[in-house]
Amino acid sequence: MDGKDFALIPNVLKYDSETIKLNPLLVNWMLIKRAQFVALFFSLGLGLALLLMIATQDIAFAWSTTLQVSPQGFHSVLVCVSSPWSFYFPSAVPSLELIEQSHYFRLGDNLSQKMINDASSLGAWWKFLLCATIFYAIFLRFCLYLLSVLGFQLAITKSILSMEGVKQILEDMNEPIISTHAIESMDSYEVVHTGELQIIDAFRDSYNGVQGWAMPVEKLLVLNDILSINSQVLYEVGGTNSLKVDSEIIAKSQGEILLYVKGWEPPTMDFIDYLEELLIEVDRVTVMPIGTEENSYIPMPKSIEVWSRKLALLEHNKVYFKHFTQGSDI
Amino acid sequence: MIDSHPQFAVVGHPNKGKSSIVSALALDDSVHISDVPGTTTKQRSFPLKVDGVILYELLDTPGFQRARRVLAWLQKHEVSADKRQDIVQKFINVHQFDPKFNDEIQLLTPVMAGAGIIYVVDASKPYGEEYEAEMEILRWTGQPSMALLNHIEDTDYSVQWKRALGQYFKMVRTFNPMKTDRLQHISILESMSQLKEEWIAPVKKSIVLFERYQKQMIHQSASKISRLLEESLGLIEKRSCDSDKVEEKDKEAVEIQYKSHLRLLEKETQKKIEKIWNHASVKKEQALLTFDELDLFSEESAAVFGLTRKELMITGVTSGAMTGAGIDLVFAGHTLLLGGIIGAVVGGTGAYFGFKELSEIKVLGQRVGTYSVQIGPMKNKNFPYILLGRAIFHAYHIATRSHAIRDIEDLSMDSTLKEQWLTDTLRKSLESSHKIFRSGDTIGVEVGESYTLLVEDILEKLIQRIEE
Repeated sequence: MDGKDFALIPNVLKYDSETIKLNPLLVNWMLIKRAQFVALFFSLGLGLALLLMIATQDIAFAWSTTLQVSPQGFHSVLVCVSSPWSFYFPSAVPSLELIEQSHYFRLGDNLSQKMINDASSLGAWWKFLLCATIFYAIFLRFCLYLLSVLGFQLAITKSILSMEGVKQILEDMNEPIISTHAIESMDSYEVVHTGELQIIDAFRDSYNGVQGWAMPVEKLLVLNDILSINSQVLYEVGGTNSLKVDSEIIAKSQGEILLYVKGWEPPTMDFIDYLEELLIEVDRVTVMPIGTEENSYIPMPKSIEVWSRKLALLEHNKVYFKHFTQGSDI
Repeated sequence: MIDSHPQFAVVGHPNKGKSSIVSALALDDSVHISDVPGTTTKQRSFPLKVDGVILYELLDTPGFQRARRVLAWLQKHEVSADKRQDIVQKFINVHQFDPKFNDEIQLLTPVMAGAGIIYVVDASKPYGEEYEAEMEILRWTGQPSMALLNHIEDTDYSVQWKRALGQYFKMVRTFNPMKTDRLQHISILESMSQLKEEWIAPVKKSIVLFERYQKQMIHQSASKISRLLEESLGLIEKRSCDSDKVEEKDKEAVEIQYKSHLRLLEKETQKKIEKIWNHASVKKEQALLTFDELDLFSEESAAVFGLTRKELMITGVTSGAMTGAGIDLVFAGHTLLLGGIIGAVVGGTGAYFGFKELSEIKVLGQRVGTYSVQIGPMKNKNFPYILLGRAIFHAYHIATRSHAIRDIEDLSMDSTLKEQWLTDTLRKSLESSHKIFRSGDTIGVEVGESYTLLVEDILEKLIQRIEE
């Protein structure tokens, strides 16, 4: 809206009028209300002025017309006009006699001594004039003002509904509030990467033992064959072994151990426990993640990263890491 | 203690997608998902709440770390089957403050409190016997359970997994959290309800509410899009200048200001829509969907999302003819229907020549000696379609995006989506609203509402289509 649109609206709304966005309907009703308010005060002033005149001056009222209107006809019109207050203030309804007495003619017989004689009764009109002012000027204006207030309120309601967010609030009030997310925020847990992992490039000619974490011996034979690893001592560790069986295998282990792990499975604390116990007994453990059979046992780079990161955290000088890539080892 | 609402603990081996499943089922993208095992260290609750009342609760738990040790401890107390639950409870009590078994305590505590078990495995990797200790522990708890086959990668070992899981779980279902949709979601909820008879009613109620929630989200998104169109098309940008002789730089400046305001409105709406669909995690640094190198005002944007010159002409002709026909109607056809014809010609040519032009730039005299240059409301007939097309494209992808996905979506933007929803009839309905929006007047609530309904219908149909 332009600033000029606000010329007739209250000062308080003119403030920052460049940024205020008002519904035109609301602006219309604002103007109507204000106009009715001003007119009501004007009417009140009119009524007050009349009262002052009645109190301070002698008002003589006479009527005349160019038209052929008889006092009886004029009386019936005034009775009709006075009907709103005739029940409460019958004296404020001009009588036929008063009308006849106050009929003024420029010429003719009726400009008579009689009218001059009745001059004192001409002041009796003031009640009618006051009631007419109160009812038609003040009361009806007041009604119009009330109507404008009502219209303004309705316009406010309507314009509020068109505001952004209000519709949303109403919908929220009528619709059930559904939420599925967590109540509390999550504490992010990041593994701090410390320690260096000893990575080897080539296998030894032979190992004192080859073990597979949750891997059957048959699988170890296949892997040894593929990688040309020499070792007569093969064990499956972890998996369905009992802890006691694993302890016995550890007790029998010595020298340098090649430990195959499933690259796609993450290193659990169960594995770490086993490795730590094994490291007490042996000189060196080379951990090698392998991939799935379908992937020719080549592990995914992501799983190599997961395993190497976990083993690096051990910071153990007996732990070595070996990974192979396609074409280099197989 | 058994709570009055059903609880479901999502448990399993580390790094098998438990958090992804919870994220997808709870429609919450704030769940920390990582390929680093052991990221989840504490159980976390995701309740489905309706007006503050919890209907069911999902619990994300850490993975088993020392399953064999736990099982060994349990088996040391060899008891009859009816006492096994007590032994599991005893394990929790004894090891409650033992950091060694923190993860097991975190996952077993809700289970022993009455939560149903949802055991998650990755069926894209081969089955391993090391899982048996975990499954045996869960059997010891005696709680109702089901297994979910998650597929983190494309390979499939479902057959061997199903064979093994079938021995421990009565129900084995497949659920891919990365590709989940409403129907798959509901199907899993239905399976969960079957775990216990008294859970059927609350979970069924949740399904009804979940569908209502989806409708609410579509409606809210449509309302935001409608508001975007209304605000953007009616936008007026002003800039003060020194004289009534407007220089080219003033024109350029006001146009830049106008365009950046429009871009901002679009961006804000996108954010609001992402929030509606719970895709606005505060931890996210980048926008989910980027229209990189596809600016709102680029030629490409017009080509992908806007109407073709021919479509624009047809739209212009139709709307012009309708206005003209109104004049004919007023004069009861005494215009020999010329109104309709002239309206069509004017509308059609206007649309043709106004293909690139945004809006006219006017100079306004204000107080003595001060002038301002003004641009807007939008006159370009194609712009509303570009803006609406982009908004629908964005909302559709957000609505169908799984909450388990953490990557930025790589979207191929072409006009195929537009072809699915923009019909001739719809274009006519849209155009009549665009005309009102472009008028720059304050728009009645009913106009905005009818536009919202049109957009809602488009989104609903697009989302339903993907489910089919």
